[in-house]
Amino acid sequence: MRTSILRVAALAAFATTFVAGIAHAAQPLLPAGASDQVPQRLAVLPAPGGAIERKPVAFSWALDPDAALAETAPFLAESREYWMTVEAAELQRGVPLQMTAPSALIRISPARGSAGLRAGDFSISVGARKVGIDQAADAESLRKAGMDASAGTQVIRLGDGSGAGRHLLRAANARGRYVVHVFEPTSERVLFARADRNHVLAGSRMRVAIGATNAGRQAGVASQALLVAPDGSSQPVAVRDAAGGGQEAVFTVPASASQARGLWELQVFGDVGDVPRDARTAFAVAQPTARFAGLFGVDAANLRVSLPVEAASPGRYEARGTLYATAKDGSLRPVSQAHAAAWMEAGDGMLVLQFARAHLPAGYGAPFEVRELELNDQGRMAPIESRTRGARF
Amino acid sequence: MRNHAFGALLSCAALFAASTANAADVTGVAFVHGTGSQTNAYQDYWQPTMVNNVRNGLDNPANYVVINCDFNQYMWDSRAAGCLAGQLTTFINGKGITRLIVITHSNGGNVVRWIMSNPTYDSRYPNIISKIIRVNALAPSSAGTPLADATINGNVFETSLGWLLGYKSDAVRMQQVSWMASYNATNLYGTSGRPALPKLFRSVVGTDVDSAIWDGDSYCAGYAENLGLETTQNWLNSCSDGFLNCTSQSAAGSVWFQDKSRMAGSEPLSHNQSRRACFGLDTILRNDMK
Repeated sequence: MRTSILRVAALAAFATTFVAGIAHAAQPLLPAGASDQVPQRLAVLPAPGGAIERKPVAFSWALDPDAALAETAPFLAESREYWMTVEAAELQRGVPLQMTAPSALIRISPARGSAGLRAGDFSISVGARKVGIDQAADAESLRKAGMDASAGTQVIRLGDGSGAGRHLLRAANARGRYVVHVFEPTSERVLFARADRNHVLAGSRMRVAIGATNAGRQAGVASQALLVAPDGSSQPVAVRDAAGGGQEAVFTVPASASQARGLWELQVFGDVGDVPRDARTAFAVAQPTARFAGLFGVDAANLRVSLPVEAASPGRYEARGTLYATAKDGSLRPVSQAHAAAWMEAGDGMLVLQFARAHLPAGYGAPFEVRELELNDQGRMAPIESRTRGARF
Repeated sequence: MRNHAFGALLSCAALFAASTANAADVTGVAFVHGTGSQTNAYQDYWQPTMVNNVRNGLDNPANYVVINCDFNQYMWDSRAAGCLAGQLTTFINGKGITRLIVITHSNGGNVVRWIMSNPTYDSRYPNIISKIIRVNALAPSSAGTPLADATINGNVFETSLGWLLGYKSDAVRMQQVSWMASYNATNLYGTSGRPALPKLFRSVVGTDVDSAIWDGDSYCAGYAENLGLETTQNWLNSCSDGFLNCTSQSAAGSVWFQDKSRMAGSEPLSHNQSRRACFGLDTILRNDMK
């Protein structure tokens, strides 16, 4: 309670200064929607390293009002593949690989110091039946094709005799340890995983839905999951059965999340019936190093929207938004995209979205809305705040 | 401390500039390579026949630049987009370029799309964007490739066991399908439902790989390379160039054309062939240098 009162007082004082500074009435941003990402706390971090632009830059361009914009749904991962690690002795005896369809691809990659194997070194069988190799490629030919395969990697595609059932992969001259990757491109046994959003703030909860199908019909799945940070560190995440079928992983991203660049992943290891399947989802995690102060000022005549920013950490912050204007039929359509970025020390800052009057098609005008209003931490590659509807004037 | 950006902004309102040249215009072309660190992309990546045939379509064929950067990095890295911005700026300033046509291949399309989607990331970006009249993206990996997922080689179990099979570049990590989906949703423009890019970004889509040993067409850009693509194609959809699904190549901007609709003999362009003078691709690009 006390914190809230102090925060309101601070905002009021800031708004006074802000209004005085730009000579236009400050208004509150539109209330955040359920899917918006708005920091409730701020993180204090040292300035990001590396070559980061220090000059303020602004840019805008016209949009086609007839090209409707829509929120991008989080990626749906589909898997017809799995990985396993095996010792040479297992390969010499025969590694069982459960298949559901013919023409599977098997890729065998030796760990460092292990012996690379050629296609001719392998024998594959289903019971007493020998399975043919239809196609083979080594690391060199894969690399020439642009696939950065590890040294000693061999890919084989199963041919005559392959199909559903328990295959045995043997290599009598295996030495060391190997990663075996099985991919069944024509399998109807599929594992799915989808996060509930594309990005999240550190310390926030996230949900990944997990499901499976067999021949297009919902299938049972039993899975485990690991949350993997960009620096490679990982932690197990509980998976539970979900209401309505399938499973889900609900977890909290660590508040002291890794600042290594790159995305986080939830890696799912499932069994769809008797067949393993691995799937990965990726999403961005941001430290809340700054946020919009909750207000905006507007110079409507010049389509200039000023956005005060509270920065808890030094960094280069960028605001971006899409200007929607009202068409003759009363509908709001996207007409202009504007970005503005500046380096800020910790404290109060300001970013100004300068849309261009020239971007307004004939017959378009007020009322306007700034939608997809975002605040990004450019130096840390972090999407901090996003509001589907930001401001209306 | 308050950072008032007013007045100090490098402001640039980029309109959809008409691409018609006038007498005062100076048109140039930039060749932007794909994943990898290049030091002589003219010889090694594009090869002279491709570059020279294309630039001869310019009023002044000397107005060209072949980019050499480290695209093993994330697209936004100073060694990737930063390097590209530096070389393009030097080219634009040195030659007085007012109209820039950019030809990219594969991941080069992502690096250019990063610049066009994030104009405020680097103060050199706005001037580059303002000069670009279009990007001809040859087989761009706009939605990533399952081959990148496969290359990362599995899951964290291997790494936790210390079984690292070798470090994979950030560019490969970035081009995993789920990663590109995240970047397209958050950091990049031009894909379905997202705001359009500030300038035209149009793709040439390779739809198949021809590697029959008896077919001379399989040898354009190297038979061995195309043979490998036949194997990698197994990870992909029926419509692919051996490295990228057609859906990935078509995911951003607009499709200029699919290979078989324009190539001599209705030949497909494999992923290696779409950067070489195969089946008249160089002629089509040369005729576009206006």
